[in-house]
Amino acid sequence: MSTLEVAIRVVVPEFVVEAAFSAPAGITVLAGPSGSGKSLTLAAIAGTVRPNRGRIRIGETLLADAEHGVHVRSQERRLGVVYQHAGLLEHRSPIDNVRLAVGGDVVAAGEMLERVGASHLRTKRTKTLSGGERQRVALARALVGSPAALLLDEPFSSLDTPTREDLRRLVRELVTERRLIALLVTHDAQDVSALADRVVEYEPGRTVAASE
Amino acid sequence: MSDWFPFWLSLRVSVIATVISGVLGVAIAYLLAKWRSRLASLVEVVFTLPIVLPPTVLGYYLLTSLGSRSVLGGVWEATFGAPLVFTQTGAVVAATVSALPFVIRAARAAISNVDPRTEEMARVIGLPEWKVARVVTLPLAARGIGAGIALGFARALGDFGATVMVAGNIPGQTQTLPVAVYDAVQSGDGDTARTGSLVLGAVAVVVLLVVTQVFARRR
Repeated sequence: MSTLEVAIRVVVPEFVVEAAFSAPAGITVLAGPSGSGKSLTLAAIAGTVRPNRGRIRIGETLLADAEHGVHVRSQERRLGVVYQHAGLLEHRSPIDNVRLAVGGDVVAAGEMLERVGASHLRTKRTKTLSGGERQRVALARALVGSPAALLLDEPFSSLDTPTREDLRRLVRELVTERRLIALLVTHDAQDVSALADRVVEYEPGRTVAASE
Repeated sequence: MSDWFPFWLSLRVSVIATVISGVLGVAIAYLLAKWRSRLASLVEVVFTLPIVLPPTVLGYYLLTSLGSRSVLGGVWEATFGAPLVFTQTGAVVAATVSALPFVIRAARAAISNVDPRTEEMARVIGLPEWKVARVVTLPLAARGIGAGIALGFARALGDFGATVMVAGNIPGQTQTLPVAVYDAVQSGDGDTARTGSLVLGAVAVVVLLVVTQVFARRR
């Protein structure tokens, strides 16, 4: 089983983040006050931010190595992401959004939508979807390409309580059934108690290692 | 108006010029929006010049750089066996250069306004760069691009100064509608001047309506 290993230092204007942890299959929660660099860590893993120092790898695959100038493009990192604001393409239908993440494969996209309980949304107008529906479609889009890791940034925070509980259950099921490496950034203590297999505590400016 | 040739010529010239400046302008705008450097700003200034230059001055520069004695003009003549200036093709070139900055400016602004996070998300889900442009950036910038193309069309249709310098004022050959209006006034042909101005004025109003009501409306 491969493990996501992160040991990086990222410097952005007025902000320094150092993070070192490893995340095996299961849900690793990145917890800590806002502004402690959790989302920036996800951005570095996703390849949208370049670490100034250190390495990121998943199993044997190196994603970034600042000292050796390695920076694999986002496209080639094979990651699934779900952010607070789902970032769906509003001008494309839900099935299109999912299909685009798997090279246009409609069958795979349809099956994935069904798995997340959103097959009835296939051809709806994306603009009209509720928050929970959006996150289901985003989850399908994140998982349809069998990603090497799943990155979740406050994915439930704009949802009402029952929807939040449904989606927590769904994420837990999917992570277990697919043996996924999942990182979850959250401020919600209930997310932590319901989902965390491991917790990485962030403090502004530094990181403590993961605890079970 | 007895002779409708200038109207049809103007329409043909401006449609061709709009297509060329649309394709070229969106491509240039895309590169300018993504390529952030001092040189990019300089390139943008050069492409924007036709908006602020007096059209006759723009026409003068085109004429000197495309005329038979110029390098470009010479290459054109060697290739096609006829000069570029004082032809309908010359009118297309003048209209295209006049329209291009309107397309570039509007498209560049619209492309820069697309939320970079949406583009990043598209990259993370695996879309190659050209597909990010086709599926995400350009569709989200479509309204701004459309507005720029509409304004470019109006500019191409209405061009006088550059066209008259590069294509001349040959009735039945290179005389476009704005030039015909000028000609009619000079020769006291009030009927042609009135009709031509009415047609050009109506097109301008329609284009502005399209730009403000269709393309610029908030989503």
